[in-house]
Amino acid sequence: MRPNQVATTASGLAYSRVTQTFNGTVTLKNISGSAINGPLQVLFFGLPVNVALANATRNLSGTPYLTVPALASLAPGQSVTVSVQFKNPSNVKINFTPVIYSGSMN
Amino acid sequence: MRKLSSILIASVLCICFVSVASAGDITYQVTVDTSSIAGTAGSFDLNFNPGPLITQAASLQILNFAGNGSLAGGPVLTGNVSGALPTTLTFDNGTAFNDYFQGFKFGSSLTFNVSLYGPALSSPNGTATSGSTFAFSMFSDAAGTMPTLTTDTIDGFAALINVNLDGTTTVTNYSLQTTVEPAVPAVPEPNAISRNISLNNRKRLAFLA
Repeated sequence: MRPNQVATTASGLAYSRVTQTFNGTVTLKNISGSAINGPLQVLFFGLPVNVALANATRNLSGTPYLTVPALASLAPGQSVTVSVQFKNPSNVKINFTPVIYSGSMN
Repeated sequence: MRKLSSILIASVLCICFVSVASAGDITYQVTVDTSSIAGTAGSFDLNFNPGPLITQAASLQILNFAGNGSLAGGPVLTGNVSGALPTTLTFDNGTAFNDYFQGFKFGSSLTFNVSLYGPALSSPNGTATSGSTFAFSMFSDAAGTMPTLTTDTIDGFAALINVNLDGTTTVTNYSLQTTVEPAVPAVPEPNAISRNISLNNRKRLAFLA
């Protein structure tokens, strides 16, 4: 998928003392002129050492990813939001480069 | 079976209320009815953190902390936090984890104001890709591991306030005992205004004399 097809934004990260995770959301918006077929995969490239995506669907060659649940397609202008949870025991700045794939990872 | 389904649904879902406020600096009043846990030696947690992408600067103050509970022991501060309750706390979103954790013996009520301000609220730059989030949680143990007065039994949050990319704020309230509402600025009563004018005139008269 071309980078200019989807805009990725994120909420702040609230720390839960119960789960010891930083919790928030990532929102994907279709900024292209045509529908994008699901399923969509959000890959989290470049997470700092000691930061882990706690609710990752799986890893692809060491890069964690999340499958956007129950999304058949994303219409132009439409957004979808997924929850994210990070383990960050060193309290370092959490950042990553989001890369969005359309299609199944299997 | 039907009853079991209802119980399962209730245990998976948590009740929360969401409201959005317009862009700009804003102060919320947080009020908690803690009467059901009065006397409990517990704790609470406040944190204000940026998101994982590009985040614009924002700050937050905890003001007017009051109630009939009592602070227990010293607070634990992490990141960009200064101050000590019951006086003003100041947070900013300059590090990943900005947290104030405090042991607390709950009384029947707890109230404080959350004032959010800074460029992310007053002048959103349109290039940031992450917001910031304030989280408030209460616990029935001093170690802060057993959430209380919340329907969020997984993460334990009582309330969240998100600073959005357009400078608006969104409140998510998971606590039936908690209200989070925009604080109404104090407006002097008409009598008070005329009294002040009268006093000012008297001062001027006194000065002229």
